[in-house]
Amino acid sequence: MKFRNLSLCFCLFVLCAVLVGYSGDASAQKTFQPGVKLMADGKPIDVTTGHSVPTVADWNNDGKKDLITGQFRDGKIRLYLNQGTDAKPVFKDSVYMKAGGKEISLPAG
Amino acid sequence: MDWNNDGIKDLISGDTNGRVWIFMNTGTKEKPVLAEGVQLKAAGKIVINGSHELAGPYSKIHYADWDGDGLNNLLIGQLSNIVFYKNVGNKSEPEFVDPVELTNTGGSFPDRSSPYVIDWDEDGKKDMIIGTENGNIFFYKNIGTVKSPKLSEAKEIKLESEEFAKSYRHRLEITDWNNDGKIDLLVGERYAQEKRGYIWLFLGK
Repeated sequence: MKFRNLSLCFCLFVLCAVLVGYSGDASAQKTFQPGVKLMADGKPIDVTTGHSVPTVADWNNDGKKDLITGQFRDGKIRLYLNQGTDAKPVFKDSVYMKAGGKEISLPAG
Repeated sequence: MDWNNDGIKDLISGDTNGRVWIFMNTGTKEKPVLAEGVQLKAAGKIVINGSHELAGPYSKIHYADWDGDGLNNLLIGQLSNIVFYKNVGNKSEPEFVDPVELTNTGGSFPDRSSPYVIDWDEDGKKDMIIGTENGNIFFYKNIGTVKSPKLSEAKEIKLESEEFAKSYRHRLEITDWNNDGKIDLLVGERYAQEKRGYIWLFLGK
């Protein structure tokens, strides 16, 4: 009887260890819905000659996330200000970001 | 990204020659105005391909506290490696020393990596997620400590979408896009046949 209790304890211990191990692994295994293209003005955002490099920030401090992306053509940087909400971003047009009064243009590749 | 911790956002960008451009915001929170770009220096020299032993081309910049000392560091994905520039300055005046190459227990990182630092498995330590030239996205678990990170070998993060599979040169942003408390991925891309560059959104399940 004592032996059976011990072996039951051992089984429970193994089960717990497996569960703990599993949950640890599960958090590393984030899963994602199929990808969708980000849209602007009803069309997929497609930067000129490719090489999109997205970053997200509330650029104008209105409490809503905006989108900034690099592009290959002329090494320019596009800013899409969010016309929707923070939880449901909506984009229309973009502007090329300026620095020192001129459009930023970096060697691209 | 707030480079100098003055409460208003600045902009940084890499370029094909491996430079790091800093555009300081001289405006306000609501109306940012960027000053002309300044090229980053490390150990007294402008960072560009070949300027430092490990400085290479095609810089993809990530500005984050990698070594847990409260200061943001620069992690730069280059042609064939990821380098780490330690910030030895302070919060308002970042200052950088010679870079060191980051490694993982599987060896080096893929070409043209796009590094992103985040506590992916929520164990209190920052891990690394990277986008790659070939289009795989990898998770590298931090098996070291907060102050002395050590990365495990790569584990692929499976992302699906028919057209997405053809794209490459993936550049990552990680954020909670729809404010549902789950991490989402934004992936920039290149697809030469159509010279396109969509931005893909993968919402966390």
